[in-house]
Amino acid sequence: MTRVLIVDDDELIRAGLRAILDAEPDLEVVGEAADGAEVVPAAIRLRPDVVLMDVRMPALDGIQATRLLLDRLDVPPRVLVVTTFENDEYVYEALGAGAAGFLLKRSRPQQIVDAVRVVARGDSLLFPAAVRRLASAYGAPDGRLPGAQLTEREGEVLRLMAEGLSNAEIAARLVLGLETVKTHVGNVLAKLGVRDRTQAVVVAYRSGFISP
Amino acid sequence: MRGALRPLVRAGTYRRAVFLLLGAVILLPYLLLAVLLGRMLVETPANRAAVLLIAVAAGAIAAVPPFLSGTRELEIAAVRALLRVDLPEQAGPPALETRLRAALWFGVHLAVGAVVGTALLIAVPMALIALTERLGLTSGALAGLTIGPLGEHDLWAWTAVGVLLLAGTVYAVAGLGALAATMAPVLLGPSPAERMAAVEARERRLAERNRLARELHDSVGHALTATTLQAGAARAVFDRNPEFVRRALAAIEEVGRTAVADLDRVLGVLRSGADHPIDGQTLEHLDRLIEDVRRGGVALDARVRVRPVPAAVSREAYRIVQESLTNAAKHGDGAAELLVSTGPEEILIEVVNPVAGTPARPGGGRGLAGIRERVRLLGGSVDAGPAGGRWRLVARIPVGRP
Repeated sequence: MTRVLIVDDDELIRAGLRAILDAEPDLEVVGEAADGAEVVPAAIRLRPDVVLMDVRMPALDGIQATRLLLDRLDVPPRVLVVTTFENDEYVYEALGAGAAGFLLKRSRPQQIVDAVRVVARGDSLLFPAAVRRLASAYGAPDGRLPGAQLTEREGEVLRLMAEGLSNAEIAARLVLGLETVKTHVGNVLAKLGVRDRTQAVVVAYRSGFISP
Repeated sequence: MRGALRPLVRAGTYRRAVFLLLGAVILLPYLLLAVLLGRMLVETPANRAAVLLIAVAAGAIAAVPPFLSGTRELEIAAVRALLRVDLPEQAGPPALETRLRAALWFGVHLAVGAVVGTALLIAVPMALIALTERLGLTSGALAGLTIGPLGEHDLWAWTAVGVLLLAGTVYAVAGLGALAATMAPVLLGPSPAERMAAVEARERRLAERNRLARELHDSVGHALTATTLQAGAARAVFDRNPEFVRRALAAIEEVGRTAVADLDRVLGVLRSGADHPIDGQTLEHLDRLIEDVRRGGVALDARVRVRPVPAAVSREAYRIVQESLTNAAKHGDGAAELLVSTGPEEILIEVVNPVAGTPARPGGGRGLAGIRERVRLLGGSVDAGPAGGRWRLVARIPVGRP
């Protein structure tokens, strides 16, 4: 059972998302918050696995709330940013701040449910094409990859992560064992100093390691 | 060689010639008048004083057109069409410096037109006659003509002269036309201040457009997103949770209605083509303005009766009240009366304040000019001036259809 916390300043959005997610047997909406400032206490109290986070909110926006969440909690939930507009610089910033993916509010109910599941699993990148578009619009390359050098294999794995491949798919593509791929992914995340594959891909785009 | 011949065959040369000849055409009535007066001076010495008087008066009248903004606009239109020089549209009355430059252009245009016209009047017939004589179409047209070594029987030489005359005239016209096209922006273009004003106006329009886009983005985009999500959710839980579906439908209806109203308002502003900034404040925000003025130390006696009026008019009315009260605070002695009432036909704004020290200039200052401009654009009237030791401003703005 995946526990979900919904954060949005619009009640209609919260109610709609709750109805869609609660209709799924494997998903449970454990709470709602109307502003980014309420997120950390709510997350500590409710222990969600996934937080659906609006970007623009009156007091504390989704970017800052995401940073706080990842900073304050020992085992932070995965953050899925929900946004009205696809071409939104804030969304890219939120991904850079550590959000695991983003979702358009106008998505079909099934896509919303799938997105929550993908983010909860955390083994592949959500909407790789959309992330690439955001990167090409807002992510002017700023130089070298931070941290240690990646091995050739690790670089290969990072590129496939950016294409949206799951660990199993990467294993099949490179003809490697699943456990080996997991090790490579873990090494990539550690060397880049990021916490999940979305952030790793954003860093890869930002540094120019991969051109969008 | 081909480059040297180009002015002769280019359509632009002849279009420019038409422009130059326009100067001659405009000069013609001036010339006729001058000739007429000159002849009167010479032929009737007894009336010399009266004729001189008429000449002075006629000269004074004739000196006016070069400075009129209409003349400048005509010249700009002609330059655009015939010289193909892109000059910006004239916005508002030109400044004195701009008028002087335009007058200089007008004068030079007339003078050059006269030169080109005369050259064509002499060169073209001369050249044609020389050619027809050579071809034997005419005979004896050059009889008695002797210039330097050329006599009337040197037909080949005269033909050469004719061709050279024609070509020379066309080259001269091409050169003068090119010069005119180069000089047009200098003499007919806007002054730096006017250019700056035009840029500012454009920036204001852009800012306004961005603001409207943002407003649409925020209100209508958000509403559509919310209704789409609600509809999707309602479909997902249709059988299991009819209560949610009922609430979702009510929400969709309500949000949709508000969004259409927002859209109507924003599109209304776009359709009205307002090119001045709209800061969103309307007569409904007067209370806050009045509060601010009072906090600024003005004892303001305000009577405001406002009914809904079209947003565009309401915004302008707000700005007028704002400027009037600013003027009252600046020039008054700390007290003012404000009356705003909206009737079915018009909005009445009246501001009365005692005048501190020396009475203000009868025409009023910059603020008043702004108010007059706004009211004029809305088709209303402003009456402002001293009345019984106090300054009184009354503005009436037609409401138009709501």
